[in-house]
Parts: sequence; C-alpha cells; structure tokens
Amino acid sequence: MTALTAVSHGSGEAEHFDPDASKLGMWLFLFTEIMLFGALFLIYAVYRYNYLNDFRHAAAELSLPFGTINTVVLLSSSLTMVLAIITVKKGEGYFSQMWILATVSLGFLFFCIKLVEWTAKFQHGIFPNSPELITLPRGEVIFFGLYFLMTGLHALHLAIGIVLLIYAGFLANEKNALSSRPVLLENFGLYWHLVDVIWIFLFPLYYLIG
Amino acid sequence: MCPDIKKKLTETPTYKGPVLVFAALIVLTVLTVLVSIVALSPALSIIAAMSIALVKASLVVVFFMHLKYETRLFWYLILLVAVTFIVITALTFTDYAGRAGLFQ
Repeated sequence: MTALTAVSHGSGEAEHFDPDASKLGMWLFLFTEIMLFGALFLIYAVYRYNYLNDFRHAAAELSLPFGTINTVVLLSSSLTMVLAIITVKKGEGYFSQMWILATVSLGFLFFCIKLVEWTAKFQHGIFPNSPELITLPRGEVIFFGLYFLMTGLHALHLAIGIVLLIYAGFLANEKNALSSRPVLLENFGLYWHLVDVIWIFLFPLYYLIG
Repeated sequence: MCPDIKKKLTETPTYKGPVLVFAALIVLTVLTVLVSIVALSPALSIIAAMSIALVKASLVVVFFMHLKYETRLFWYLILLVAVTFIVITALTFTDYAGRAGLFQ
C-alpha cells in the first residue's frame, strides 16, 4: 500500500496536477515581467520629465502608421489567442490548431513590421551608438536608446511567445493532447496577452504623445 | 465584479464576448490615434493617451486574461502589484522633482 502510494507520488504527476495552482504560478511569473518592464517605464518617465523637449522632438521621428498597424495586429492576435483557448476547451483540435496558427502568423507579421521600422531607422543612421545618433541632443539619444531597448525587449518576448505557441500547436493535433490539459494553452495565452498589454502602453508613449 | 470563490464560474465559452471586447479595443485604438492628431496641450495629451491605454489594458486583463472568472486572490495580487508600482514611481518622482538641475 505504502509502496503503491509512493509509486503514484513518484510518477503520477497527472493525479496531483492542479490547474489553478499552475495558473497562479504563471501569474506570479507575469508579475515579475510587469516589474521588469515597469522599471523601464519608470526610467522613461523620469527622462521624459527631465528632457521633455528632446523627447517630443525625437518622438516625432517615429512612424505613427507603423505603430498603429502593429497595435491592431497585436490586438487581433490576442483575439485569435482567446478563440484558440475556447476551441481547445470545446475539444475541437483542428480549429484550435488553426487559431494558434493565426496567432503565430499575426505575431510574425508584427515582427516583420517592426523589422521594417527598425531598418528604416538604421538607414537614417539611428541605431544605438551610431555616429549620427551621438551628435543629437542628449535627451534624444536617451529617447532612442530607450526606444530600442523597450521595443527590442518586447519583440524578444513576442519571439518567445511564438515559440511557445508553435509547441502548443503541435500538441493540439487530432489526438488533442491539449484538451486534456487546457491550462497549458491558457498559461501561454496569459503570457501572450501580457505582451499585448505591454505594447498597449508602449504605443502611446513612443508614437502618440508628442 | 469579482466572483466569490464558492461560485467560481464554469463559463460556457462563447465567441461573441471576445469579439465584442476586440471591437472595443479597436475603437479605443482609433480614438487614441485621433486624440493624438488633434493638438491638445502636452499635459492633456498624456492624460488622454494614458487613460485610454489603461482602459484598453484593463479590457485585455479582465476579459482576455480571464480575470473576470478568477477568484478574489488574483484580484488582490494584481492590486498589490499595481500599488507596489505606484509607490515606487511616486517615491522616485519625489526624489527627482527636488533635483531638477540634475540632468542639465
């Protein structure tokens, strides 16, 4: 009897699996992410406060159409993410795979637009430590430094999200391993939505308030 | 707003809710872009942009991230994170506000 319990303890991860605890763990991780980006937002706020004119001048250089399109793309990907989770819960493996694919594609699209945007900046000689950049006023150098750091870190998070979703997409096959444990996709979804929330704040700070 | 632990909702997932939330997010995005094009005073434009961003973020967290269907514990934890961040920000600015010449 004791041996049996021991065995079930050793191998029986599934029997002791607690989806609520799993989700709580994911949220705790997301809080550390919020603090990571929160510190960067705070740095942005302090420098903006001290270099208001430089920040306003530099922000005018960024492309509002690119920023707006990317916002819509990321919001759309959040919708398809939610739909993927709903279909997984309904046990519709095929549809959830399609929604996951849609989410990944929109993530890629965001990435490509960001790449075009960054390339345009690079061609104008604006990249970290470029000879042209360091001739600009100090506040503008800081603005672009923060811009590349924050959107870059955000893009890195998006890339990680894409990898996670591709993995989930393989699990959501006909055998539908995901529907027996939908919390996995729900947690990936939480992460994906957090990346969206961070962009919701990056967008006005860099593209809108001039 | 936040459901009790005992009657935690086992909601029947529908497509209508998320689509409506998405529509609201798009409308708010258009609104915030329009507001930024209309030349408001710097202070007003920041307040408008950040208020709309806060509403958008809340919509994503409450509906897309399912906070609406979670227990009170999750709400309290998020409140704790928000308060922590506000306190850190306030403390930082009380410091910098008194040292305006620091960066010149």
